[in-house]
Amino acid sequence: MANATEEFFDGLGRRGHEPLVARVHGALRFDVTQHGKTDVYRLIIDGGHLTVSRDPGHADCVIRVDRAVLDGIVSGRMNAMAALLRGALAAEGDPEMMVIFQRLMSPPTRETQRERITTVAGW
Amino acid sequence: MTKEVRILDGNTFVVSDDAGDVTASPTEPTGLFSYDTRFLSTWALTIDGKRLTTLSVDDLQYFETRFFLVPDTGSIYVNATLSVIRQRTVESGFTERLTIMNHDDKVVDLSVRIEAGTDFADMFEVKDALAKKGKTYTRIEHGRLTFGYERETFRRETAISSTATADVDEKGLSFTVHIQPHKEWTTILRVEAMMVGPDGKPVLPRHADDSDGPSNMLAELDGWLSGAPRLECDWEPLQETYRRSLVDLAALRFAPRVTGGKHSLPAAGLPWFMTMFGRDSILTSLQALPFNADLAATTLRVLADWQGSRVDDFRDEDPGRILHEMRYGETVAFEERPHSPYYGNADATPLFVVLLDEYERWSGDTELVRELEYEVRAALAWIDDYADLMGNGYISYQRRNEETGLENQCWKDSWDSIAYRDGRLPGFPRATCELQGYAYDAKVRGARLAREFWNDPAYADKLESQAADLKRRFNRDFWVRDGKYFALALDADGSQVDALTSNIGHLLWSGIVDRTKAKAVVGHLMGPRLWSGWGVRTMAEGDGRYNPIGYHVGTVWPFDNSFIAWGLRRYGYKAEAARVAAGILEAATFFDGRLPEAFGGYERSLTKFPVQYPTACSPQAWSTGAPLLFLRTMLGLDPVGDQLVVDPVLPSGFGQLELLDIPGRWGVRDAFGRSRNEAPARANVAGSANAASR
Repeated sequence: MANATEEFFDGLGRRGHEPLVARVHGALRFDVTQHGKTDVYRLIIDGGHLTVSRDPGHADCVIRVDRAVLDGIVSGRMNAMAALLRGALAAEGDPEMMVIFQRLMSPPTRETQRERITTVAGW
Repeated sequence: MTKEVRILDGNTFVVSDDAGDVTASPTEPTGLFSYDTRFLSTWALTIDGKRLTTLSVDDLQYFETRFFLVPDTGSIYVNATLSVIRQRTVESGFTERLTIMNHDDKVVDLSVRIEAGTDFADMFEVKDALAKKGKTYTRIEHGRLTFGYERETFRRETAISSTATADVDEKGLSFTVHIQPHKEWTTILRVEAMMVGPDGKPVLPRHADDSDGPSNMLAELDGWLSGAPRLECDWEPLQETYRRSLVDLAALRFAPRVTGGKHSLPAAGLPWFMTMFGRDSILTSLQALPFNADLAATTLRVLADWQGSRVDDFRDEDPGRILHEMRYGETVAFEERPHSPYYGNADATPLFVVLLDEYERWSGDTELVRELEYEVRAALAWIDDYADLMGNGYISYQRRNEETGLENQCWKDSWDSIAYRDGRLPGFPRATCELQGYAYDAKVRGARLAREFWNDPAYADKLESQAADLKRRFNRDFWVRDGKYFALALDADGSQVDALTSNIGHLLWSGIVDRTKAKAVVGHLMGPRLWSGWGVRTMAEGDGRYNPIGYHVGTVWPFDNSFIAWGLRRYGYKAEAARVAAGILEAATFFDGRLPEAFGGYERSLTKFPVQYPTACSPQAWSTGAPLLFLRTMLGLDPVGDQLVVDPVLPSGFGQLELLDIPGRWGVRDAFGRSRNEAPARANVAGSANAASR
């Protein structure tokens, strides 16, 4: 059954070039655990070009996390930095990669504050 | 109340009394803090059950203090035969070398005890006195006392150990001490503050080159000091203030672990703001540019990494927005507070562009300008696409996080800082004037970057025409006709929020003021309602909210004045700039060269000395940076192409001023100035009127 994490990495792989990470060169690996089993997702960023693989190769930053937590993070319900601070995920290596990775978690929105202020009641 | 003693290293600091003891109440910001968590709230030394008396305190380094103590003999006629020295060094927790000397001819047997305890309070909890939600535990193993706090996966631990054998119980360490005549006893106490992640590993990865103990810290400080320009000045207090500024700035540098801890940037100040702060880091980096450009480079890189990329109402995040504040405590970890990071400010984003341009002008680092092209374009786009809440072409702000977000998203962020002349408070959104100045400056500077480095003249033209249009509209819409100054803000109806404030000085700095209006603005800044004699008040005397000890409604802020002086200089008012510099630098002499965040707006002739604002942070990064910017302003330092232009106008009484080995794209250069001692201050002002009209 597809879940948020699975869909997210599939989507990243299809995104191809992402200007949000254009100045990044490196690899980020997620060791995702669920029911005692570990799945690996490796994201390679090459000047903004994204490739996702499932092989446990070299990474500049390795993130170990429960699938439930990562599902929450990639779908925007949880914040990765907060999860790190409360020990719900562990990062090893270059944490700058994790900071940059956060940019990928939901696509840029075109909605402006002004539109929302006029549409959201009670402001 | 005993004097507070503060030592720090990056995001870890200790605040104790002058005996070195900590006995904190839940709402008192004393103890050992690391990453926004209090790891010790009790740390008290007794000998034979009695606390000690302080003889003296030596601040050895910003990260090291020595306390000289004696037992209280109860009478001045009885000499103490024991001396006690506590030498404390902060480094990911602290190390305390405790030495007891026996000056007597007899052997002494003593019962020495360190009482220890902690509440693991989050900095926000100390501010707001919130109750804890998790469980605490205490462990004793191998002579080591560990306090722990756990809430779900969140774990923080304080581990206390000693080189001398101790009797450890749950409330501290006891030593049975036997000292021969004229001998001494020593133990080294180690307190470690740990953010424990899964598998017991540290939450934030440590880098090998990160904080390697006092000897490296000392070598690093020496390197920092020797890399800065050398100052020679006939007016001696300036030398002390300059050195104090450099050392405090070193202390306030903070290598954010989450970006690898490899580079450092200025944090905001003690005790509440020892953390990453967009606005403060940018403004401090600007102040320090002529002295150390690396701070700016790191600030730019880190803020770019964290630049907003989506709409998140809880964090007031938008694409392109530069962060306001990063925090590391429990309330942030559980998303009860939005500071992971929080984005609710309206000025850091344009100021980010201003800093990159100014940094390039000094350093010639075109590589960084190219590297950050995407982020700078995103920041400039934020001004138009996300910050124009009222659709009138001005940046305004209104928080979307109504519970824990910031109401005022400009530097004057207290609740009553933005007010009409008669004291009423406007609704939201609010478009404060300095934000428009920053936006104007960002567009002008962004155009230069686009034209010179990104090969995009069409984008440069667009930015320049937007800037020209903004300037024209601003000079019409914000100009208070009956007062001849710029309104503090526009309210939600587009009406003027018409208090007279120091913000008009920032407008000069940004260059948004029409030349024809500058003279009236300067007249206000140096006039009796704003000018206290020490500096420019945040709000003018006579306005409804004015209060000489109101945080943003009457006090004098050294940082504010440093940018005002830069603005005066930009419009040719060199003597006025020198007067502002002189006022604040003279005030600094009352604080041993360490300028507080703010001091009272009382008339100088009334109090004779600057009255410190009661809860002001000290040291505080942008106050520490103020003397540096004043030096730049007084010497008239400005990069033009690959040259450093020097055009000094000094306050009278300063004599000769030399700043040697100023680093930049020119290599190093010296600057000299001499004040016109023969001429009274008034003659200087007249002289500058000519300069203004050039």
